Formats: sequence, structure tokens, C-alpha cells
Amino acid sequence: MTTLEITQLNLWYGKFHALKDITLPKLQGGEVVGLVGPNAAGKSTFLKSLLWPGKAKQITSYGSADITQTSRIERSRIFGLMTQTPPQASSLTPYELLWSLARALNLPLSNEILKKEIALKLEQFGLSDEALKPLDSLSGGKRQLVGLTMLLLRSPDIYLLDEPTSALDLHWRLSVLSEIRDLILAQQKIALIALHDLNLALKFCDKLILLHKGELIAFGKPLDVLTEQNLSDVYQVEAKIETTNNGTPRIEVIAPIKKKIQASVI
Amino acid sequence: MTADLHEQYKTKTFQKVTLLFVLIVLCLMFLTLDVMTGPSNLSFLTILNGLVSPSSLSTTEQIILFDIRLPDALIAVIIGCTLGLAGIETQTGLNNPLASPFTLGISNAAVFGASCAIVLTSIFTKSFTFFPVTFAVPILSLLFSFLASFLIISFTAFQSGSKNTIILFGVAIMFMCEAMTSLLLYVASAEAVQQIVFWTMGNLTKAGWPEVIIVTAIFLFILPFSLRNLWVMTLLRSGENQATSIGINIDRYRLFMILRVSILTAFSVCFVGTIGFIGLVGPHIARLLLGEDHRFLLPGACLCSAVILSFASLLSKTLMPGILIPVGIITSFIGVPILIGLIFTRGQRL
Repeated sequence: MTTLEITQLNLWYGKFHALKDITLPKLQGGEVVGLVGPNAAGKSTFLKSLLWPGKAKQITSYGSADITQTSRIERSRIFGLMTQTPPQASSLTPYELLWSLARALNLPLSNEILKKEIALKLEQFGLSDEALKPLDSLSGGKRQLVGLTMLLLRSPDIYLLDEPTSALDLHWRLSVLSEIRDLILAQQKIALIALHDLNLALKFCDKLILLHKGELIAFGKPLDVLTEQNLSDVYQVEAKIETTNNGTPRIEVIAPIKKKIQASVI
Repeated sequence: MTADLHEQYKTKTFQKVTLLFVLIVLCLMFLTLDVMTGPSNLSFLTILNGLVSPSSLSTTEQIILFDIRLPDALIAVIIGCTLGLAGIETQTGLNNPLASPFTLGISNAAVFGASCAIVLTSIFTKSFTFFPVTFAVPILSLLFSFLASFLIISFTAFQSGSKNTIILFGVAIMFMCEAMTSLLLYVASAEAVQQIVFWTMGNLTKAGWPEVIIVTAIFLFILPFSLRNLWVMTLLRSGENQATSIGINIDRYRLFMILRVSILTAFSVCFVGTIGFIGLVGPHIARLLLGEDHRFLLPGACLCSAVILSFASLLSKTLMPGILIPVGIITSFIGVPILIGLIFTRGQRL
């Protein structure tokens, strides 16, 4: 079964300490973990750094296997990252892209199976009509969905998703996250998802990681992490946690907290 | 639904294979026409006879066919393939539609090398009789293009430069070499200047069998290494971010790509001069015709460039009978209209 344990993850960009000593308790297979925090909190960096060897004191997966020093190429078989930027607009078609992805990585899929897999994934995300159209004729949202199908085709053990729904409409935002949730649960894998929309995070994540300026502020059940106090401290907003008519919690953001700017005395 | 999609994909694939086949036929056609045309016409039958049994031709015909026409026509095709391959590798590898072996400064270094050779031999004619200009030019231009390649490769390797810094570095080398060439032109004798200018216009007729064999060997040696990266190249067209996140070692691919391109460019430019445009326009025409799947695009880029260069070689002999127009000039005159036509008809997808 997939597990993931991260001990003392540090990352420096030159002299800038981007990730400060992040230690997470063991994540279990079947868990969807949300990564939240304001801009420049280190969410993307955290996801990317899991692909770089030697940044953490220790990373273990699969119960006990130590993968701290494994190379980036080997790691990308365990971790699958969907980047924030969708596939670039070129005259490549999604079908060709998925096909070459499978073959460039030597995925163990025969032509027959690959053919079915690609058609299935494209249909799942409403891309059947765009499959043979060039990427530069697709909208930003559609290209983001293509990026997602690329990740799903690789089927890694640990899914790292960086803002997977940023360009999507209401329907796809919800269906993408629930598809991922179902898949993680069914295959007992782990997903780490960076999200800006805290209500989506409340709705779809089993646990949340709250980052601020490269530091781990809180980790745990969504409602334990997204407290009114944390929202005010980290996000600088006045917010209330409410319960909707359906009985689900909801974050109502009231107003930004304005920092007092000290006027310089001449 | 699922079978449907793959059927559509297969239809498109079939169209691409057909197009490649058409390109091969075109290439062979121009090659034959190129061999047939010249001051004394050889008929198609004479060529065929000569190829099957050389002894059936007269001595003059034998000399014309085997020593002059065949190597000239073949070098056009093979140089086209070589520069086309170099072009498609740089465009995809650096993810820039304007990148070509020439933006890396390699060919300008070759020009500088050739200019040095021409100027030096013109000064030391008497003491250098054992080292004639026909040897000095390719050797020095090869030497300088390798020097430029070495600079770029070490820059890529140690600076872990992004694609744009590599291009900028290449452009810097290009201008440096251009300035040094200008300096040489400024001090050289009028005769040497004329020779240099003529060399930079490109000339296929000086090539003989040794050149044909060397360039073919280099092309065939490099090609398998390029073919190994076909899937990666196609994947790269979805963007560098995607490729790295998937776990493709882009830096390593790019380093070896530049090494391959350097070798291809250096060996083709040193024998025939700068036929620059072909490495830029051939791949683009192929891309517009065949799309981004590099299984078809890569051979397509080679073939398109070969067809254009072979056609240019033919035109350079026939446009003004008796006068041989430098092939570099003709290449641009053919390539530009084709490219502009395709841009207008196929949309601005480059």
C-alpha cells in the first residue's frame, strides 16, 4: 500500500529559504491532501521539491522504502506532477501528445490497451471532440484538462496536482476533483493538491496542509486547519466558518484585514 | 466511440505516410533532373544505361556523369537532409520557431574559418603550395565551427542554461564571428574578398565523391541518435514544463541535441558554404504539411529540405543558361514563397 512520510524538507533558492524544515506525519493510501496557503506560500515549490533528490532529510514511501536519494527520473515514476501551466499551444494534438507520452516513458501498455486507455481518458474529461485538433485551437480550460489526462495516463502512486482546476468552469472544477477523489480511494493512492479555493478544499480533501512563507503552519482535518484565527493570521482576511442548509461547512470571507501602513515622517 | 477515435487517427497517419512518399518521389525526380541538366544534356536513358553498365557510355559521358553531375546532384540532396535534420532538432529542442543551426552561430564561425583560409592562402601563395585553398577552406571552417560548438556546448553544460540563454549565447557568437569576418574583409585583397563573398553564397559544384561520402556518413551516423528521441521530441512540443514534470531529462537531451546539430552543420557548411535558409524553412514546411508527430515530421523535414535544395541546384543551372547562380541565393528565392504560401493557407501555426 502507498504511504508517504516526509521529514525535514528544506529548499533554498540561492539565499532564499523557500521551504523551512517541513515534516509531515505519515500519509496513508486513499487520502486526498490539500495544500493551502496564500500566494508565495511555497505550495508549488513544495510539490516540485518532492521530485528533486536530496532536499528532505528523509522521504519514505511504501511503508518503509527510503526514497530520499533516488534520482529525479526514478522519482517521477512514483510521483506524478501536474504543473500549473497547461500544455503549451502548438499544433500538436492531444491524441498525439498522449501517445508520445506513453511511448517516451516506456509505459508497459500494448498498442491495443493504450488505444483504449487514451480514448477512455479523453472521453472522461469531455475531450473526445478535441482529440485530433491542435492544442493551439483549444481553450485554456480544455488544455488544462489535457494536462490532467496526461497525469492520469501515467497513473503514478502519488499524485501531485498544482492548481488543477484554476482554468476550469464550475462543472469541471467539481467533476475533476471528485474523479480524483474516487480514483485515489479506489486505488488506495495518495493525492497532494494545491488549491486556492478553500471551499473546494473543505469539500474534497481529507486533510489539509497550511503553508505560509515556506513554513508549515498547520496540518490536520480541514476544519481544524482552516480556523478563523488561521485565516486571519495567514490569509489576512476576516472570515467566518458557517454551516450551510445541507449541513456542510462553508467559509464566508467578509473583508480583507488592512495592514496599517506607517506614514514616513519627513 | 473509442474505436472511432483511433480510426480517425489512423486515417490521418495514412495521409502523412502518403505525403512522405510523395516527398520521396519528388526528391528522386529533382535528383534525376539535376543529373540530366547542364551545359551538355544527358538523356534519361543515357543516365540509366550509364548507371547499369558504365562501359556503355563514351569516355566524355562517363566523366560528365560520374565525376561532375552525380556528385553535384547527390550532395544537394544529402546536404538538404543534413541541414533539415539539424533544423528540426534545434527548433524542437530549443522550442523556438526561429532557432536554426545559424542562430547558434555555428555557420558564421564556419564562414570566418573559410575567410581565414582564403586570406591566408592568398598571402602565402608561394610558401603554401602544398596546402592549396581547396583543402584549407573546409579544414579551417570545420575547425572554427567546432570551436563555436565547443563554446556553446560547454555553456549549455556548465551554466545549465535555459533555452533562451542558449539562443542568446549563440546569437552573441554569431555577431562576434560576423565582426571578425568583416575585419578580415576590410584588410584582405580585393581578390580574396571576392572569393569570400562567393563562398558565403553557397556552391554545390565544388563537391566531389569524397565530400558526398563524408557528409552521407555523418548524416547516417547521427540519424539513429536523433531517431531515438522521436517520442521525447513530440512530447517537448507540449512545453518544457510538461516534459520536465514527467521526468524527461531535458538538459541532457538538449546537450546532446546541440552536439548532434553542431556536427551536422559543421560538416555540411564547410564543403558547400552557407546555404543557411534551408535549415529554417525546410522544417517549417514539413511542420505545416505533416503536423507535430516527429515520427513523420523528422523525416519530412529532411525530405522537404532535400527537395528544395535539389530544386534550387537545378534552377541555378537553368535560370540563366551558361551562368551558374549561387545556390544559396536560389534557395531563398524558392523557400520564401513556399513558406509564405503555406503560412497563408494553413494558418499561422508555427
